[in-house]
Amino acid sequence: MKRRELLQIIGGAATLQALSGLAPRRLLALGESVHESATTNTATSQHLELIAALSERILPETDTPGAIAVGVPAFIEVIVHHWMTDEERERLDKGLAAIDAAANTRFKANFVDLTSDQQNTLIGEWDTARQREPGSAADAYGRIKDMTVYGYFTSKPVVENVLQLRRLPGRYNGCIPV
Amino acid sequence: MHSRLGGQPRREYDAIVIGSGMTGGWAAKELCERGLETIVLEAGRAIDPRTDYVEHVRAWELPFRGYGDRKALERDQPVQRKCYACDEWASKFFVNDRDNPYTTPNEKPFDWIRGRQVGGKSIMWGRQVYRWSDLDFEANARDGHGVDWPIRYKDIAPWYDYVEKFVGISGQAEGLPQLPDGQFLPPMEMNCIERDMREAVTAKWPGERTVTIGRVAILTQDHNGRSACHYCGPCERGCITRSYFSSISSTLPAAEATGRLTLRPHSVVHSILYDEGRRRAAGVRFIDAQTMEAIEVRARVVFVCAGALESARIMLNSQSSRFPNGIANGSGQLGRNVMDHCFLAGANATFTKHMDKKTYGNRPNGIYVPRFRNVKGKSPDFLRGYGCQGGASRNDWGRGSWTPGFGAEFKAQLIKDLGPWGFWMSGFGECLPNPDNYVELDPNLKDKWGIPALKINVAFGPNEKAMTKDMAITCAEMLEAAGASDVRPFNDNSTPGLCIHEMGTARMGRSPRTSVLNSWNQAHEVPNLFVTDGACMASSACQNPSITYMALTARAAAHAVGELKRRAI
Repeated sequence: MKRRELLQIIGGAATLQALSGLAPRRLLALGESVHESATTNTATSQHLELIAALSERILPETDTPGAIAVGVPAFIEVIVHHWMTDEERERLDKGLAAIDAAANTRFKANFVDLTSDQQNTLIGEWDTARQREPGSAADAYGRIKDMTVYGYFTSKPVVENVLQLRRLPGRYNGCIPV
Repeated sequence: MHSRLGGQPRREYDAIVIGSGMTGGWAAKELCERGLETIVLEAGRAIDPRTDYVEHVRAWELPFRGYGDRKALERDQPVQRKCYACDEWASKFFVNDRDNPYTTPNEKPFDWIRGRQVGGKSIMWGRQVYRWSDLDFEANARDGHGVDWPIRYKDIAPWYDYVEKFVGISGQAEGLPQLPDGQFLPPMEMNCIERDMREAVTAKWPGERTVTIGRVAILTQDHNGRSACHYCGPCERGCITRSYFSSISSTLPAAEATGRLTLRPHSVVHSILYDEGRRRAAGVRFIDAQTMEAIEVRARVVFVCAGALESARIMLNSQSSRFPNGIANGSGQLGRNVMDHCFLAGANATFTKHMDKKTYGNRPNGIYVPRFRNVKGKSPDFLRGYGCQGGASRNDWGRGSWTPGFGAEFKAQLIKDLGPWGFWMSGFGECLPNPDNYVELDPNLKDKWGIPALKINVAFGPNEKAMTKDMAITCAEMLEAAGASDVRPFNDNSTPGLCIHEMGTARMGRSPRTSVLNSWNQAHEVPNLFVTDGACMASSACQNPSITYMALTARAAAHAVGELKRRAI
């Protein structure tokens, strides 16, 4: 499987049915061979799994779809590689490396290989961090969180099925009960 | 808009209109309906709403989900992208900055936002519509800045009525002397927080401040064959139901219906030709943008409606032995007195009441606080005044980026709870006319079509700076009065140009020695030359100016046809 195809699977709502039985960790494992042949062999593309794992922890699958199921990692990948400046990408790469370094220091494994509880412990610290030094773990987490929230709530499945927003509301009411 | 497009135009018309946007469309409609064979020259391409309008395209249907193609924007539209509307959907309605260069002194940045297409900036304008009053028309005479307007409210009032009836303006009549009511369709609703603010502001500043719903050129009921708004939200991306006013939804079809309109896209005007013997404008020279061929057309009357700075550029580039410094520029005022509203100074606020209430639909409009400074009392800090615009909405899922939290509960909250109400509000302030704020032709730079680029020398002065300070204070105090839980004033010191209300480069006035145009938007020195876009403005007031340009254009066109009929021009 080529990396592009993996991204299409992760990002494509149409294929959700076929992959819905796979746990996020299994789904991401599909990517390993792909990364070996990746054409964009930058640091961040090696962090794709980490980005996906972080996004799924931020917005996990519940009775509504999680970040991976609606294609958030693929959206982040596009932004990282085709939107960010080199400086921004390097800063994110540095921060993602710091995330794995923190995971190894605390739990002796890369972030993606930690248990959910371990991941949540680390994220909890970054999420409430007062200081977000550029290139730090908390800095990268904040950037991923920002893109995760945006990517999730602008995805087709979430807009149409979860939020159920209509393209043409047809009227405006300024003050009605929730 | 498919009639007689492109190709070699006839050599002779009754009228030439330069520009097809807000005012060009009105000039075309009025001149055609009053019997003139009219050619409209538009520098940009034709727009086909069926394929070009993207208001219903969802974020996931775009490559960057609305973040925009940043590399392309930074390369091709580094200036245009500063406008909020130049986003991943609508950036195609803004010019390519590399093809359309201009220069500024380093210490005087100016953001020149342009739309070159059939429809011009009327495709993606802000749609806010406010009449001027004599407080505005008398301002120059009162404090001595600029020259006296040669007209008063009574001269333009019937023309406001005339254009508003055609355009369709929704708004609430308030009976305020400084902001005359117009021909209104039903107003849009204010939301819970905005209603609170209206009550609180009236109670705290009775007879001084009013919070009203924005007056907009958006239909709240079907009107003149166009459909009522369906509240999808982003008007600047187009409107397939023609619910907001643009020239291609309204005035140009009316012109076309007369059978007297020729609309020529891809026609970049180079200069206005001057007949030294007849002392009249003879016609227009333009470059076919696709073939680069130079073409001349002739006419009995020329309307310049290219946008204030573009119109000045064309006129400055129209040089003859009679007018070596630009056509109709005996006063030396052509290109001078550039004004734009100062804004992006106000306050943000959070409201935690009405948490059990929400809005439905995407209202493409906000609230308006008509000018209250220097209306009754006198401000010690500055002349003239400003209006305020803004609005409230629930924070919704967007708060997820800056709100602590993650995981299942966090996600559930973003989906189910709408979050507190946010309120953004900014002043829009009057800019004094100042001859030292000017544009000139840059001798060293030409655009893609070989036409000299502009050098723009414009900066806000102490009066505008004092005004923006006051905006932040008054916006904050009105939000506080409305019961905000958290108020955060701001003053971004906006760059001139970014409000996209640039105007004043060929001002109207009573004397040919100090102004370019007379009371009919007619060049003092070239009687068959009319300039009816923002260039004509002798002062800027603080209201969004388009409806005033439209009214002046219709008025000027009626006058021009009358003068032609009695062979005075």
